[in-house]
Amino acid sequence: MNEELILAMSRLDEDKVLEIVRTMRGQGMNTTSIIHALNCGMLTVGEMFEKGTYYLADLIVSGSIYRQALSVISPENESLTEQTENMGKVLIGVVKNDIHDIGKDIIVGSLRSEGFCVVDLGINVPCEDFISAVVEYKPNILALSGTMTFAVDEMEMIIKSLNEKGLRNTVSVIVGGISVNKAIAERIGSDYYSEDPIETLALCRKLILR
Amino acid sequence: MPLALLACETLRDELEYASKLTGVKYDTQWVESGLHNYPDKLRNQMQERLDSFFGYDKVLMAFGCCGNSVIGLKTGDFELVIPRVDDCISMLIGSVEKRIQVGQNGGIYFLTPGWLRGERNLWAEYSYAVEKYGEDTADMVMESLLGNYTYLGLLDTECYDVQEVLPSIGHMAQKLKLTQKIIPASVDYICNLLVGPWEEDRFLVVPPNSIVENFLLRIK
Repeated sequence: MNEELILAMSRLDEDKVLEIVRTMRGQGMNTTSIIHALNCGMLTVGEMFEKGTYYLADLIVSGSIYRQALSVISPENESLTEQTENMGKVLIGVVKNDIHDIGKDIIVGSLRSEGFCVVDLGINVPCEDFISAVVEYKPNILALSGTMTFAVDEMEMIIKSLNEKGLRNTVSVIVGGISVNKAIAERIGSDYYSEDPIETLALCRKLILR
Repeated sequence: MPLALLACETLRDELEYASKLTGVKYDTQWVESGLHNYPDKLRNQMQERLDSFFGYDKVLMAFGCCGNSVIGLKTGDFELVIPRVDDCISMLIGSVEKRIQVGQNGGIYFLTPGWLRGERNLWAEYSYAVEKYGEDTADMVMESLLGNYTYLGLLDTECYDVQEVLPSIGHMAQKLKLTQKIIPASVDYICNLLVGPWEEDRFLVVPPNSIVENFLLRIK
């Protein structure tokens, strides 16, 4: 059934995905395996987008199907994993002068459904607001999102500011977005770079559980 | 001093106009439009074209930094001149700072007729979504993509008849639930690219036989 779910997700067959998820839940399958299969399907969707087979519309539809599948698995606001303890706190936002938030919103939804406490600062967030939020919320992880090329400059400024305020060692920083890659993330002083929401989720899990 | 041009198809109209204004025309290699969502692919295509340039002192890039796709590019026996802008929109508006300023009172989705000829443009995305998923889902998709935008901004670069394209832009704006707006723009930056001077604050000049690295686009 896992393979069927992966295939249905990768084909963006909404009805099939929801039908299989309902069946799997009905059979008592654990949520971790169901989510894992959904994530595998999402990875294939991402690969197909990279190849040019899928459009942005398909990516967005995949996000919608994913969220619907999560809500079938569990009622709203309940953690979907067997771990009921709060998984840790993530502060996330799209940096200043950038208003692209699709990736961020998918990440927020995925993290919350895994039991993370997520503080979402929204879009076009200035450096000083990120810093104030780090002080106020004391997150384990700071996730910076940006699509525009100049978003990277802003991300570097935020990381420098964390250093200047003596906050850098209090939080793990993840950066992501079209204009970022591993080398750029390292150059600007980020701890991690994430290519997509699935990777971000896995990274946050790893960081909290270590 | 032999010069050549590496250009994005999106800017074809504006480059032709700038060539007319400046009186220069260079050997040009074109890269297809619509790769701004795929910086690695874009870098590969740029590099493939750069590797074919021989006998030139300078190669001028009619591109922005485009998702940092320019980072990692290798030059041959030529200098590479890269405009210090994020993408072609800022080049046509005048600078990154001006682009940000123009968008202060409501997010603007900028376009030109050249942009609309590209394969993976916004209207192509919408049309694809309508055909594959129906209008309701297409509207949901567009809301996700454009929810933070207020305007569909047609850049008037003075190289095409704005009145001729306005009806189709108006139709698009209506379908995408955006307000149509005409934004003054120009080919001044492109003209500067074509004839110089290539001053430090507007252009990154990469030496021959080197790699574009340790470079990040800075907002002033």
